[in-house]
Amino acid sequence: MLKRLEFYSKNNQLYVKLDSDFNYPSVKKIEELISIEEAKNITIDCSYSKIADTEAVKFVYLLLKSGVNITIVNPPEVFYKIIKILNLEDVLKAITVVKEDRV
Amino acid sequence: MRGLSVEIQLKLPADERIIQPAVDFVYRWGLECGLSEEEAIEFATAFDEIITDVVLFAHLEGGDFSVILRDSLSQLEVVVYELGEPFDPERHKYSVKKVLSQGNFEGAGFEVVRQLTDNFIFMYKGKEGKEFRITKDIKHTHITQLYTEGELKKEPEKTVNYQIFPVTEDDAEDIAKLIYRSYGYTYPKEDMYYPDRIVRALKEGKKFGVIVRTDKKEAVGYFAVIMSTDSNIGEVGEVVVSPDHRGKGIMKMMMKALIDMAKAKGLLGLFGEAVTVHTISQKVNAKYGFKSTALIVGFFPFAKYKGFKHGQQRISVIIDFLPLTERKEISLYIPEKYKNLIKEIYKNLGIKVKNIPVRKIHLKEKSSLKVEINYQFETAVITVFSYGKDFESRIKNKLISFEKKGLKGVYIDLPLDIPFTKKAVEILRSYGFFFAGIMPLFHKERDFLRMQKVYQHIDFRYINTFSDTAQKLKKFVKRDAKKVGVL
Repeated sequence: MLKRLEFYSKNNQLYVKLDSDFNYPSVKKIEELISIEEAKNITIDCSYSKIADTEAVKFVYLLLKSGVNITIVNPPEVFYKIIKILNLEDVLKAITVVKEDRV
Repeated sequence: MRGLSVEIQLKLPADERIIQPAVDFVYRWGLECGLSEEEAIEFATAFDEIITDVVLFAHLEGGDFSVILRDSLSQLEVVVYELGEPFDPERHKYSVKKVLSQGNFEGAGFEVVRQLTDNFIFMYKGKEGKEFRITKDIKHTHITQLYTEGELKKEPEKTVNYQIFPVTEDDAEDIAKLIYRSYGYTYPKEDMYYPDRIVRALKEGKKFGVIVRTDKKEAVGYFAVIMSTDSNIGEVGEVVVSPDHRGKGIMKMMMKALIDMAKAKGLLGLFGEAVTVHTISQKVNAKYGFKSTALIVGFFPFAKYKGFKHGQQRISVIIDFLPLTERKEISLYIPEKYKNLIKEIYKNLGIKVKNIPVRKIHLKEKSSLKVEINYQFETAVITVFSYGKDFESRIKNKLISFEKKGLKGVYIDLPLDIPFTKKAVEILRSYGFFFAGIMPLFHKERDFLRMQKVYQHIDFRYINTFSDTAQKLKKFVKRDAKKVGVL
C-alpha cells in the first residue's frame, strides 16, 4: 500500500512523518513545509525510511546551525554511518533521537 | 576467467521523481542477489548519492541517464552513465573544515560512496559524458566455516573403481571440500570455496560439469565448463583431482565427458586459460585437441605455485581453443603486421583465412564498446563491437581512468570482421598496446583480435609454453611489446 507524507504544525512545532527514505526528495518536501509553517522545533519521523543520504545530513546540519531544534524518530542505521564518515559526530550530537518500534 | 553475470539496463529521466523508485529497485535487487539487509542498504545509499548528483548537478537542462546492473556469484556492480557538465570528483574532495567554516558539503556524497562500497570508479569520457561504477561484494559462507581442518584434509581411501556423474547442486559442498583439500587456499577462483556460490551457478545454468567418486561415494575429481556470457562457447575453467588419486586416468575420463556434454549442448567451442607458470595444463589441453591462439600477459595477480620456479610477477596465460563446429574458410580483416602469425593460428585450428583488402572505411559517430572490470584481478577487458569517430578519444579517456584506479592490465578485443580493425591496431600501438592473439568466437560468436597493455614489468623468462604455436606466440608477443616500447 502506498504511504503518504503526514505532517502537522502547532505552536512553532512541526512534525513530519516521511513516506519514503530520508534523502533529497524528502528534504525538498520538508523544505516546502518549512517555507509555509515557521518552526523552531522540527520532528522528522523516519519510521518508513530504510536509507538516509548526505542531502539529509546536510539539511539537518544547516537547520541546527540556524537555531532550529531537531528530533529524529527512528533514523536509519546508515544515517549514523554517514555522520561518522563525514566526521560530524560531535556537531550532530545536538539532534534528539527517539527510537520507537519501526512500522 | 570471466565473471558470471546477468545484466539489467535502465534508461531513466534525470528527474528528481525518479530517485526514490530507482533506489528502491537497487535495494530490492541487492537483496535478491544475496546481499544482507545492511549491505543492500549501504549499496542503495551509494547509488542514491550518485543519481542524486546526476539529477541535481549534471543535467541542468534535463535529459536521460543510463544505469546498468550486473551481478556475478561474488559481486554486484552498478554503472551509471550520463551526459552532462564536465566534473571530476577527485577535484572536489570532502573536507570537514569546509563544512564547519562555510557549511560547504562539497564532495561529501562521493566520500560516502567510497566508504559504503567495495569499489568506486569514476570515468570522465569527454564528450561522451561520465561514468560511475560501484561494486559490493556478496558474502557467503566459506567451506572452512562449515568443516574443521581435520574433516577437510581427510583424504578418501585409495580405490580401484571410479564412477563419473554429471554435477548437481547436491555436490556443491563436496566440490568445495575437494578444492580445499587439493589446493589449500591457493586456488585462484575464490567462488569455489563457497558452496552457496557453486549451487547458484549450477542452478542458473552458468556452468555444467562432472564429478568423479570412489566406490564409497567420496568425491575425488571435478571438472566444469563455465558458459560464456556473450557467446555460445564455454571455458574449461574449473578442475581438480584429489592428490592421492592423480595418475589414475580421472582427468582423461572427465575431459572426454565434458567435451561430449559440450557437443550435446550445441556449444561452438571450448577454451582454456592455461597458466604459464608451468606447462601441465597446456599439455593436457593439447592432448585433447585444443590449439593455442593467444598469450595474455599479466592476466592474473601473482600467486605462489608450489614446486615451480617463477618470478614475483603477475601470471600470464595461454588461450587454448577447441573448435566444436567446422569452419573451413573465413574472410577477415587482418592487420598487416600480424597477418602471418594470425594465419598460422587459424591454420592450426583447421581454418583457412582470406584476408579482405580495405577499400573505403565509413565510420559512424559513436563506437559500441563494452567494458568489464575485474576488481579482484585489477584488470579491464574492453570489447569493441563497432567503431565510431570517437574510438580513439574514448579509449584514451578510459586509459586515464584505469591508470588512476591503478589497474595492472588492460585488454582490448577488436572484431576481425570490421575493416577499421586494421587501423585500430595502429592507434592502440601508439598507446602502448601490443599483440596478444586471437580470441575465436569470443563475443557474439564473432572472432576477435586481442591487444594488451600492462602496467607492470613482465619477465618473459618465467613464461613457459608448450605447443609450437604457443612458443611462437611468446616470441612474437615479446617482440611486439618491445616495438611499442613496453619492455
